[in-house]
Amino acid sequence: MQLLFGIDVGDTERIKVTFQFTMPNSSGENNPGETAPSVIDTVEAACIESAVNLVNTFVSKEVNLSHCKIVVFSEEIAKQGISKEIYSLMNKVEVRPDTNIIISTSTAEEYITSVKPSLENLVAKFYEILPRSSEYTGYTSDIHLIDFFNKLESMSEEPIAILR
Amino acid sequence: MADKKIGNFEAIALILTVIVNHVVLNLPKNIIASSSSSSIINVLFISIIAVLIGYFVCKLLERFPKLDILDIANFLGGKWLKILTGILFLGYFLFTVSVVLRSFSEGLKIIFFPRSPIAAIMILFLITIIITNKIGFQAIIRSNFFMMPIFIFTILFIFFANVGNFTVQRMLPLLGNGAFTTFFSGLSNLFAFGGFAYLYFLPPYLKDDNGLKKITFASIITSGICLLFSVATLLFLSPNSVITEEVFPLYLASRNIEFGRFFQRLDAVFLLIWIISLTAYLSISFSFATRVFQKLLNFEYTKWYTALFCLFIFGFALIPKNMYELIFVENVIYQYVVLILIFGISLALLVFANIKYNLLEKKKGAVSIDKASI
Repeated sequence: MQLLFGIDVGDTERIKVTFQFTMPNSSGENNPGETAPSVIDTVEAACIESAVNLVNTFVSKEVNLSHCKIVVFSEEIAKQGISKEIYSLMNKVEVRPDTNIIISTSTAEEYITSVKPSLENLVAKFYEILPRSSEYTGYTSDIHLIDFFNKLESMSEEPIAILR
Repeated sequence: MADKKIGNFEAIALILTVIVNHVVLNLPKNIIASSSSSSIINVLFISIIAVLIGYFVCKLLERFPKLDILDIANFLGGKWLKILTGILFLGYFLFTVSVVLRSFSEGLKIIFFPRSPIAAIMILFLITIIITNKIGFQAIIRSNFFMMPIFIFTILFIFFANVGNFTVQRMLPLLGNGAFTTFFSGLSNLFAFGGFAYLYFLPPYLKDDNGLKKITFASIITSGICLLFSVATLLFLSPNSVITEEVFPLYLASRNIEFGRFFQRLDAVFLLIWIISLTAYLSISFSFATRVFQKLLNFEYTKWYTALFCLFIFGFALIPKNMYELIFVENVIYQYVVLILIFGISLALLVFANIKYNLLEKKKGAVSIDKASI
């Protein structure tokens, strides 16, 4: 199951995409209290579609973005402009409009590798609950892909995303 | 005929099935593409026009109780006009079934079955149509009647569940691209009320001979409400550029619905309901096509050639080579076919039949028009 992916400025290609997957049957029930393992893969490609195709060539299962909870952009690529990537994501039927958008002050790859859920065994659940903390704290916001895209298209609003 | 008689509510559900299915497909998208932010006003406007046309049609049909448009064509111009009208309506029903079948199958393929051949998805629907038509007209009409509240509920539910995501300011400026676009060229959006086609064939099937007026108004007003809610949902939810590029815009709206962490991804339920709705619509249109064919050639039974018609629909539906051609057929050709046949030729036929009736009445005194005399 694909949980989230991060997008950085590529070294050889336009973008560097980091995918995080959960291991099948890794709900952590065998060792209660232990965080379920996940797999992180990084590829460079010209666009998100190419990156997904590239990953599909070396992982044993087809990558499906239906369960993607979060898309992380590095601050560097966000400053360059991410409208192409947002359009690509909106056009993909698999990607849900309630997927959260995060801008990372470090690279997206660093963000993904450094996330260690401390109070949650299931990484998927952690990513789902994480943006919802805006319901009880004012320090963050719950920004969905559809909101971001609508504001990107709007003549009177500016898109905003969660900064971490 | 007695076993084929339908009640008023069943007849209303029958006409509503057209609007519900086109709403799920591309109807609101086309209205928003042409009228932009004035879509809501445009829908209100065309609904009022449709009510007026409905009143006019009822008045014109008053002279010909229990007769459908083929009988009226026979009265007006004899056998040849009846055959010509019959061929036009037969073509309309088969064309509609083909286009809707292909369009919905393409949507399903994109969303759920990206690697399945489109023909395989279409064949499943066609098998269902053959089975439902074998079971009978009454079974289709009653099933549609029982399911119709659920179909309408999905449209209303999507609106109310999305209220929190709405940006109401998207309906500004109120007149969108201008008054001319909203009220004059926007009149072409009358094609949304393609359900009028069934109205012309309903009188012989009605249990209540005086129910046509009630059926007409109830179905047009409910159709208008469904259309209004669906257009409002899409208009308030996303920018026009997004709506006009989506395969099933209402499906996009349903994907935004969530109630906390536990009730999410309700879109699959909606799609299941819409598949049932589409099957009902295709079965009804197909049933009417076979009935027109039967009436033209005076066949006693319809069941033996339903499979042949299905093969024709299958072949015709596969003609558009890609989505671009399909969208053109669905948005442009279908629109003109409805406007010309349903609101042009059929209305003209009814008007001329009434003129002929009046002339005969003046010449011979009271004339009684019934099936025996035609």
